[in-house]
Amino acid sequence: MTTIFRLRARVAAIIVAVMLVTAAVMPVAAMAMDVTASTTRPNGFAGQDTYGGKPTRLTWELRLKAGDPGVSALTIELPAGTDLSNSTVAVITLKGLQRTSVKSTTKINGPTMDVTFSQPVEPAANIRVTVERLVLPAAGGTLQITGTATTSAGIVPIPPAPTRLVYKRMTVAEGLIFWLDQQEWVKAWNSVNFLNMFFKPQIIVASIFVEFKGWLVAMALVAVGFPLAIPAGLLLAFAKMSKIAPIRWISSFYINVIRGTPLFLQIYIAFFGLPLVGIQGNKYVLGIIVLALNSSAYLAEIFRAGIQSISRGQFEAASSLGMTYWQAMQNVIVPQTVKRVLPTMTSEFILLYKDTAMLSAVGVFELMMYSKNLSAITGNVTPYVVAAGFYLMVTTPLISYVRTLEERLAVAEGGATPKPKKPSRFKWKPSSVVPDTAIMASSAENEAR
Amino acid sequence: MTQPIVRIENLHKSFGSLEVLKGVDLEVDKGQVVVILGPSGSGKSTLLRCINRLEDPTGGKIFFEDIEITDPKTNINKVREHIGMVFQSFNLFPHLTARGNVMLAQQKVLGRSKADAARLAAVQMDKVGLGDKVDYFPAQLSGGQQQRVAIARALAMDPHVMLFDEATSALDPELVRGVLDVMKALAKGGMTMIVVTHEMGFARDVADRVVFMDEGVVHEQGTPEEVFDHPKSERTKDFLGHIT
Repeated sequence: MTTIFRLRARVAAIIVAVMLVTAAVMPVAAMAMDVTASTTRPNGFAGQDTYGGKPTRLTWELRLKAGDPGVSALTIELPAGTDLSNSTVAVITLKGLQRTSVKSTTKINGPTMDVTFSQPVEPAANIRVTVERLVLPAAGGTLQITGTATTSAGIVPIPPAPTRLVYKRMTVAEGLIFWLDQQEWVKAWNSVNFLNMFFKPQIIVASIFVEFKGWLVAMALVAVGFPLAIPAGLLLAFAKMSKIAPIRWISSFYINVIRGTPLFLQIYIAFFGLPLVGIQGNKYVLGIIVLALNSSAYLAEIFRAGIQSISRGQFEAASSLGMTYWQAMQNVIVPQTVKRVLPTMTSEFILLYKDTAMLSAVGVFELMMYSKNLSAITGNVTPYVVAAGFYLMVTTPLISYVRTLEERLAVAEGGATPKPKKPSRFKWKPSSVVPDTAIMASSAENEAR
Repeated sequence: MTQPIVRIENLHKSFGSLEVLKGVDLEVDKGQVVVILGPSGSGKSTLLRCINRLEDPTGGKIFFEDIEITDPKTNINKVREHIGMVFQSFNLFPHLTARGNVMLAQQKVLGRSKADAARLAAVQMDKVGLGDKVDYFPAQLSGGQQQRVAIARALAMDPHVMLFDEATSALDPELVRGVLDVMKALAKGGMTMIVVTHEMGFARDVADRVVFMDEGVVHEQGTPEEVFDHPKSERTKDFLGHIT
């Protein structure tokens, strides 16, 4: 019996305690006011993130429902370290579609704002407080807005926001852009419309960071696609030289179709046609396959021309020693061909690398796609200029590599003498000007495309 | 009478409508050096190239050690192992050193080990007097040296017969001698050789038999003395008159 009694006493005590607590909280709980919005304006160069350490705008909205007491003042506390020294505060009320601006005075005290309305705002209405140019703490964190509302029923704590608001520490790029924003020379530079549209420093920095990912994707596409195209191209080349007519026809047909139609069209057929017949695949994989199939046709012609450029005597010599067709190919013809086709092959690699841009049309996120998006967000051409830089970063050394290969080949085949060393800028002699012989085969191939 | 190592019967070869060989008969015995003479376009080179079927004859038969080369069922690659050929334009493999040139077919065709092939390459390079040039690339050698490497390359296959297709025609005069010396030494060593050349001196000194060809047929053949000193055919007389 005693245990039951004790239990009852305990339950009763708990009920009393709950009632007391409820009574203490009652004024708030009784009021139905809530926060319907608490947002900051994204202040990064792209995307939806808010960063600490640089100005942003806070929009905070308190809803007073029918039956709530009127509000005459708000005390809004922001995280410690928030800089409000340059801020301005505007208050409006919204009743349905009707907006009314509210006269108010604001006292700023560190991260705390005391906003006093000239006359209380009566329900039902939303009070929207907009704080311009506030700087959240640089370290980043969660933005929790606390404080109190002075109502006709007394001072009550303001309710929490419906969503958690996170602001971040600035990345290197963000920091750099913010720094550039404040530089006088940048402002002067950007005051020239052309420079501002094509070479805006802040967007250059942003583009480099954003487009780098796209550049990696473009590189990956071609780094996987091109090695796949090489064996396919070799196969097509040998098929085109086959003694068996149907094999020759198939190979020629394939090469002609691929070389005779735009890559853009081939991409569309692959990306829009295959799903219609139920073939779904990863778009990056499909992109690589299309690039490889396209390039294999060009490589096939390069290889075939290379193989056929080897003098007939080489094959005869190998045959006279008893080598079979494939032994001669493998040990005599192909090794010589490799050296000869390397410049044109490298040119083909350059073409393929640039052609990855076309995959942006079908939603592959590569360099072109990133720059297109960034350009759309910023309304500026600079992202494209930076993309050009990313393409050139790869193609320029390769083009000079092609030139070196061609010169070396010309020397090896006894065609030309080695190019004399570049004349020094300061000791320029007209006699040392050498005609440029490096155009040769690759340009012919480029024209063919 | 020994069995001929090469026997050609009524050989015909046309390139399109142009008939280059119009029924050639020729027998070469083991150890013989046969020199084929004739003006350009007489079909000498074509005849030689038919023997290892670099050209496919349009008619007639060729036997090599009782194997019918002209039979389509013959594995020609197997036969070619035993027929060495030296070309006017050398046709060395430019991507390989002299040693590499001599080693390649030994390894790939005869299946010799790398060490054996290298050793035999050195022997053959010594034989042609280029023992110190084994590591040179063709481009670093003179025409005469290249041709001697080509001879070494063919010899390394232990051929039963050697075909020389105007081996000295592309050489500067001062380089001809070295190549001819190698060929002479080879002939003295008992190699069976079929030689197309314009070197009359070589033909006279080395040939066991001289064959005079013109317009796709053999006009005359015999010992050098018979052909050079007492030619029977008017064509032969005419030809020899022009060049001597």
